[in-house]
Amino acid sequence: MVAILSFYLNIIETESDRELARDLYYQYRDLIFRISLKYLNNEAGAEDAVSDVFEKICRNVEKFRNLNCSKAKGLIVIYTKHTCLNILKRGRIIAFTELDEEAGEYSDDAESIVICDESYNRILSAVEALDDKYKDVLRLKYFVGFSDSEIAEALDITPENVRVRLHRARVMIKNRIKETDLLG
Amino acid sequence: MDDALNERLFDILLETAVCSDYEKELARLPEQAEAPHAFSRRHEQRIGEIYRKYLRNVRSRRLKRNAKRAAVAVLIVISLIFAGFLSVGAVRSAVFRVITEWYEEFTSIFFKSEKGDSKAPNINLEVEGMRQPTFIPNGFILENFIRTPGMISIDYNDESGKILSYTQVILDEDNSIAVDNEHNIISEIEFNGYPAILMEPMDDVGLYSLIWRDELFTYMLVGQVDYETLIEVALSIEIVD
Repeated sequence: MVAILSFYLNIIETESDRELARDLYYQYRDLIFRISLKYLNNEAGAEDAVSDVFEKICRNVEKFRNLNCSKAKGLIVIYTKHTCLNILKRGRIIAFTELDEEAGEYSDDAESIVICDESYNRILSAVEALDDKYKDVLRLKYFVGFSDSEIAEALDITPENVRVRLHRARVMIKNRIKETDLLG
Repeated sequence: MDDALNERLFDILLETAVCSDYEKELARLPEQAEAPHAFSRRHEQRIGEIYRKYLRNVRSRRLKRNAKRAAVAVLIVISLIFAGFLSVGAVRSAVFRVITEWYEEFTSIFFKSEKGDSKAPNINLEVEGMRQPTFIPNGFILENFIRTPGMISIDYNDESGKILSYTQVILDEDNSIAVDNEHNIISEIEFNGYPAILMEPMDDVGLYSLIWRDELFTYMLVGQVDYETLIEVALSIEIVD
């Protein structure tokens, strides 16, 4: 009986591991800066946002390993928007209300929806009309492919909050479809 | 169409719509600015700090992961030993020598009896006694302790995440230990009168390893400490029960 006892006793740090965060930074820093400048309207603040996003990329670099270029960009854009909103909140530049508290106004009877040929376009219109905070959880779930806990980590909210936002987003979309049905 | 089917269709259409909407939004973002922003010196310094911190964290995480990997590998061998119901051999009188076989990515280490009469030990730690270091460097505290009839594994950590890991294991001489030879300098030495393998790291992280065998057991000591400290810890190993 020959059993190979394999154990690695040293640092095996591949080039790709070491350089992924740095590559993402150099590839996207200008994009992050320009998005941040739109939100924050000053260069120093936008540079701070770039640093904050880079820090977030470093903390979550393993999540980027299996993302293609488009999904990585999508995730970074969401990180950037979220970071800018946090900077604005911290600086009290604008007052944000915790929008999670405003829900509950959406009727459950909208759950019964009949899918027809035009449904896709209606859903797309309803998605486009959603508030960014609902769009972001949907994008992280469907576009990036994150789990609820990964979405929670990316947006600094609880997994429960993620589930609430996902539920409300669905209800809002269904309500909007129902409204257009009534109008049509 | 029933509600369940409606829901499934809705999910599919919603996913498609969300992806399409976001792809359109991303496509509207210009890939490259005509005049890239010239980042300030202060910003570049901060990025440098964040990157260095990230590298430190990556190293610390890998150290912990490698230590766990080593412990799991030892457990695999133990299970194989018990599965095979090994025969009793004249282990106590055996004198072992180290045999190393070099492969492309690892080196295989055997401890062979010079007399050739020690097929396998039938030893129980409960009877023969547990050995463990009686000297632990300052700052290291006990993190994990595993004891089975065939193995003792003790991990220590310090505040910065450095590890020191001790394993005492019963190994059939047919069992080999495979060690990474791409990132270590491996040398055969004599430790305390016994054949041993010393692994010195090629980088500055400083994870030294010492593997040796006495009449009964194989010992592995792995630590993110300097060579002198590792030897001091190894020399302090005594029977404690």
